[in-house]
Amino acid sequence: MTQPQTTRRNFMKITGAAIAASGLPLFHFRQTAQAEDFVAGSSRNPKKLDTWEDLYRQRWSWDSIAKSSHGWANCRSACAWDVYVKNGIVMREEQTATYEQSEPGVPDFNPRGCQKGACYTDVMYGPSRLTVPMKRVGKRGGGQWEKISWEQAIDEIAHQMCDIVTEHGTDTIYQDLGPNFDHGGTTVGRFKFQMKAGGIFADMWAEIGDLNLGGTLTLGVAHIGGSSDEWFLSDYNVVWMMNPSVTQMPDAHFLYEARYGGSELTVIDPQYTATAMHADNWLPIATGTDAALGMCVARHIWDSGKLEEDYVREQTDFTILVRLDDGRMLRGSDMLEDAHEDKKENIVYIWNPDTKLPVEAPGSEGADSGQLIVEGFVPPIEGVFPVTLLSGEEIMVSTVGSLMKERLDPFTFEAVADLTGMSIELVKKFAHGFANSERPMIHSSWGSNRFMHSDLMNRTKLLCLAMKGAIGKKGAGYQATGLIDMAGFGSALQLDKSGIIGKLEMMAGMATPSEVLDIMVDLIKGRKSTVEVLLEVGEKGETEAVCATNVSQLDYHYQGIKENLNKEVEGLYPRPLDDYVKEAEEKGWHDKYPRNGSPKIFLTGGSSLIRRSNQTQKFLDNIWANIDLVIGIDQKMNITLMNADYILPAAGWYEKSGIKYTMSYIPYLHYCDAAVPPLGQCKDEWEIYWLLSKRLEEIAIERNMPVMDGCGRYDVDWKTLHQSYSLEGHYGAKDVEKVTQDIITDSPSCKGMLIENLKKTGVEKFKSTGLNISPSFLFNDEWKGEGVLSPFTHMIKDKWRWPTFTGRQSFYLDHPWFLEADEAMPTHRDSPKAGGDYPFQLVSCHSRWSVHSTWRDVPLLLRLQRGEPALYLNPVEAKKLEIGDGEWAVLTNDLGEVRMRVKYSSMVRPNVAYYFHAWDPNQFPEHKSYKFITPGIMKPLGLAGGQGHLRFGINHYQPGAFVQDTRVGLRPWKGEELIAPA
Amino acid sequence: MAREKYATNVKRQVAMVLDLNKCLGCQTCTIACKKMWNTDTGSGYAYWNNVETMPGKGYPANWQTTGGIDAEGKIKRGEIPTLDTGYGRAWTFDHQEVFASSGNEPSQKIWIQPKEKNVKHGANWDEDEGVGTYPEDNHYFYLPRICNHCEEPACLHACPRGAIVKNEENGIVMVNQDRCHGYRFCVEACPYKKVYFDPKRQVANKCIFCAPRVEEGVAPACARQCPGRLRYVGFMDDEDGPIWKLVKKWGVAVPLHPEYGIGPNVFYVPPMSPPQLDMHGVPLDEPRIPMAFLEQLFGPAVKDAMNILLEERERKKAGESSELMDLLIAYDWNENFKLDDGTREVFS
Repeated sequence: MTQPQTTRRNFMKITGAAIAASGLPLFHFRQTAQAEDFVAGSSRNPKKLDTWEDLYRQRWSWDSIAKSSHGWANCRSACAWDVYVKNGIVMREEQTATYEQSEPGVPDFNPRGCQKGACYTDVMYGPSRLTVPMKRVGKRGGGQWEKISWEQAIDEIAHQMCDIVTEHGTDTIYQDLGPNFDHGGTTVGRFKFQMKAGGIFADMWAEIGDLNLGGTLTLGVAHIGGSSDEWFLSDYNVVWMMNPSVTQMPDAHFLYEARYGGSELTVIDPQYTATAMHADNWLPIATGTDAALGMCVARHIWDSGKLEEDYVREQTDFTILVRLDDGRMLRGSDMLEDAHEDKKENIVYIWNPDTKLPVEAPGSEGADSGQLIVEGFVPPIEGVFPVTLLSGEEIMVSTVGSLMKERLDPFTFEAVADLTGMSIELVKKFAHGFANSERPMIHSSWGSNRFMHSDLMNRTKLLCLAMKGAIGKKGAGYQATGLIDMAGFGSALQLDKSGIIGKLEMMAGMATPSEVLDIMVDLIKGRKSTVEVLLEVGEKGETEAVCATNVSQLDYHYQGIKENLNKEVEGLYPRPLDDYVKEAEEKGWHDKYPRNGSPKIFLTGGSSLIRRSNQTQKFLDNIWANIDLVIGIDQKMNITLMNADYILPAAGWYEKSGIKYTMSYIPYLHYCDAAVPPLGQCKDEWEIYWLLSKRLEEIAIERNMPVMDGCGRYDVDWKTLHQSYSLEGHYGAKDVEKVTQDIITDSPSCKGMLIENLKKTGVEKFKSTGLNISPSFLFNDEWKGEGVLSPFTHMIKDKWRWPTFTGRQSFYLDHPWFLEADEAMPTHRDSPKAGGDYPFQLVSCHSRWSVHSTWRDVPLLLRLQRGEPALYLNPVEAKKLEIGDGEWAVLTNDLGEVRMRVKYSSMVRPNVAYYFHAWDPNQFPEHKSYKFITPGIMKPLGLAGGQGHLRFGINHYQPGAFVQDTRVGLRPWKGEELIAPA
Repeated sequence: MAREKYATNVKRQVAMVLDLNKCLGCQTCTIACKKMWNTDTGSGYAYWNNVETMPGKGYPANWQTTGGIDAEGKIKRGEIPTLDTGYGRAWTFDHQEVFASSGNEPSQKIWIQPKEKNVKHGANWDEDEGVGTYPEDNHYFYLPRICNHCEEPACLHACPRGAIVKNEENGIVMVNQDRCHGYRFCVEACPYKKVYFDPKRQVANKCIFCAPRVEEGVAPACARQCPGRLRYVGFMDDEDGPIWKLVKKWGVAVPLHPEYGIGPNVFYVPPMSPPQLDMHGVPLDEPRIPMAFLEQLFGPAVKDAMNILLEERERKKAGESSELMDLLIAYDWNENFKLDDGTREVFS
């Protein structure tokens, strides 16, 4: 036996000091608290150093294990982790991997995880971590900070907030909804404060380009998808605008295993991605021409006799009659005397070939039945028919099916091969494979929504699937991410008082007695499904209980980009963009918030607004500069916090109780246990807002502040703010776990779950998909926690109407704006040249190496990249431009110039400048990222409203800021000064 | 091969199979390994497990040509990759200085970037670079690499101190940290360049196949943490285990550079790839990754391995059963790992 030498022993010592010392930042101070109070987990401390092998054995040891996860991470996954604690420091993490097979014949989910999750500890103890409250010294963004106490921070912030709302109102308090949040108590703290304080919620789903507007337009819901093991059951998987190897790591294996199961895998992507490399067919499609390909496939399905007629007749709007004189659907208001009184103005019609008369379509708005059951005749999909209107006028009508057939006609193999830059053979092979498959499945990620015309692309994909009867069929359909409902989260936000009294009051606030009566009648008569009723109540809550707007609209008004965006959109639509904005606001389709000018108070909540804002300089100059008070609440430093007035250090993800947001991909609740106490002086968000609301209430009482009108929707009284936040003292500052348990208890999807048990297991399978009360949470109310979760199968089985204007899967939107724009039906539109006419299209993908900005600056991961932001170029193109690998390129367009290092990659399509997103501006020269020259083009139709499912809603429908249409020119950087983006 | 045998006393050999058709290039294995074993400053550049994009220079750069084996399979003096151009240093960053510079004039702001300038390589420098002409035949794939725990390890042969041992119970090759004097002959000799010299401690160190875990029936971190589920771990001679089935019975898993002749115990299921297109964009019968390139990496046996894979896949497509495909699907992930009786994958 050799006695280990001191140096060797030091090497193997993995104490907290070693880790902490390696990246000890300015904000750090040493961890002193002990872990044992927090976690009861098993320890493993092997014998001492008897042999040299024991040095290694020592390294695999721990004091305790906590079952946790990355609660606030904005990734479309949830993964169970064992978090290993030694000497009060989290040393490492490893997947728990205790998921079970959903049903025989499908692979299990284990071990779920990714390289980021495997080193969250490097964020937690990393060089950007914040650990003490700080106050800016000198000018904002000056880089100078003073450490202050929590008491001082809360007191100063509260006083300033009271001053500001007294002058400007509470709707000047701005938070965006995400994207980093969880479904646990800490996020309730953040959102509830905002709601009760009367601030505005600016939804960023479309602004960040994640909202599937095509899904909303077609099916009435944006978030469509089941569990990822369902992928394995398809016989024809099509990855269409998604890159699961890179962005969906824990689930990607199902696709590749499906291949071994006999399925074919097609990847449609301009880039030869890490997913395309595993495909049977890679379609190198020209950027932004996906809708053309979809139209061609749809045409071929019909042409080759593969149209599932019965399905289409029942489930889609193909049978609905459309007036040929004005393109509007034939409506009750055209046909019925008492349409208005009977609430049948918007009922639509199908054709009865026996009586040769139009018949009210069951399931459409105002119909007596909420089910899509037609009895006694077979409505035609095609045809032209004469109809006599109430006015006596005779007109001709046709079906959506007929119009669609005509619409598809120009999309021949030849025409589409030309448009998409692919060979006829390749297009044909795909169309044929799709049309002949039993269970086609299309994977379309959140990232598929970043083109101005992404809505058309996704509508087209859904069209192909509907024509094959694939939506709502097990092992087939559309996978774009579903969410499991956490009803308890919503009620935790709204409650003012604890217990049943609080819940009754909350419900009373949502519906008037006569509305409750109407609801009951609808239910009893079978006019509406419970799902639909709940949906309506949810929508009502959104318009009455929350001051909701969206980030794009707020930016449009206050960022100083109005002129630019109008120029970008000029000529693309019949009217200027501003006309659409004005009309939408005049008609009440969109409320403009804040009502009286740009926001005055900004609370960050785990997202980095400056980092992700397009035309960043304008954002800084026009919105940021006008905010009086910026409070950065985060675990780590970033460009947004660098430009804050106060920094409040938030607890890390292993330092607070939480629930990872509930993706349907993995139908298990993931509880995040606190493995260690918060580092330094960090506090979790529940406590931070608890303290802030308390101080605000005290000051409000002192000053006798009047009741305020919020955003005009409800009264806001800060004299009772903390009463309301804490449920009259029911919740204390340290009660986040109690809040989280209440969320779980109030969520039917989590029936019977207890944190006490979750601390031991980390995960528990959902018992159902929940109440489905919001449009984003609608997929299957029949799933009871067993088997693969397939979206929408109950819709097909029970024939309930879809939450759309016609009650059907909608491929014809007769909204005046859509008709005017000729987008009532899907089609292909060229990607507009945003930023000017330049040769390269600046295309992004979600990052392999970060979850948005989190992990972006972690040295451990930067060492596995180039250490800096990289612009991926095809080597042939780059050489033509004389830009070497690793050299600087200048990106130039009408907005200005920035520079990035080039990385060669043969995967990149010529004329594409490709990047993985979410680099912080502080990783670029002059702290200027590509976002500074990204216009964030807006599509006017995103502002449409006033008709059925075509309405603004959080997570539902709203204008976006699209980035994939951006064009740039490239040149090698020779040291010259660049044109600064202004 | 007339070399002296050093490793005849090994009773059982633990081995790994990696299915390249499931690799995501996510490097969870790399991070899992790093966090488990290599967080010390001197091992910053050391990647016991790395994933490299092929074709490419790999890590360390051009490792395939730096080897320490001659044409007869004898140990020869090889090359030690340099920190700057061979490995690339473990870059350091100065976040704090960057945050503090935000008040400076634009041109005076500093940004987060490696402090070490003239960086020419890194552990994943060629990520997604690949070769070929877009869209006809551009291609790349991921090759995860650990120590091969060879039958006759070149590192072991080369060590004058006898500091490198092959464990009798499981065949794992380890550097005795007490005996090592840091001569680096092992670094030179290993043709896979999988031994790393720690400049801080002045000793060599390398992948230990997570021996402390294997001793307790737990798979190595790189394998157990792989979300692509592409790694199989078990004993070579266990006819009920996945290794024997994939390597011996089905012959679909082949070692990297068998021509080095030192008996690697890590095997790869070769990567299929989408068809090439002709100059008009019409799909051809040829896969994008040329067989010749795969043969260069995995030797001639890779051709048969690929054919078996394709044939069995066709069987499954036709609705027939296939033990091989079911193995590769891994319905029950726990079965990817078979170490000693009492193997447990949940160990908390």
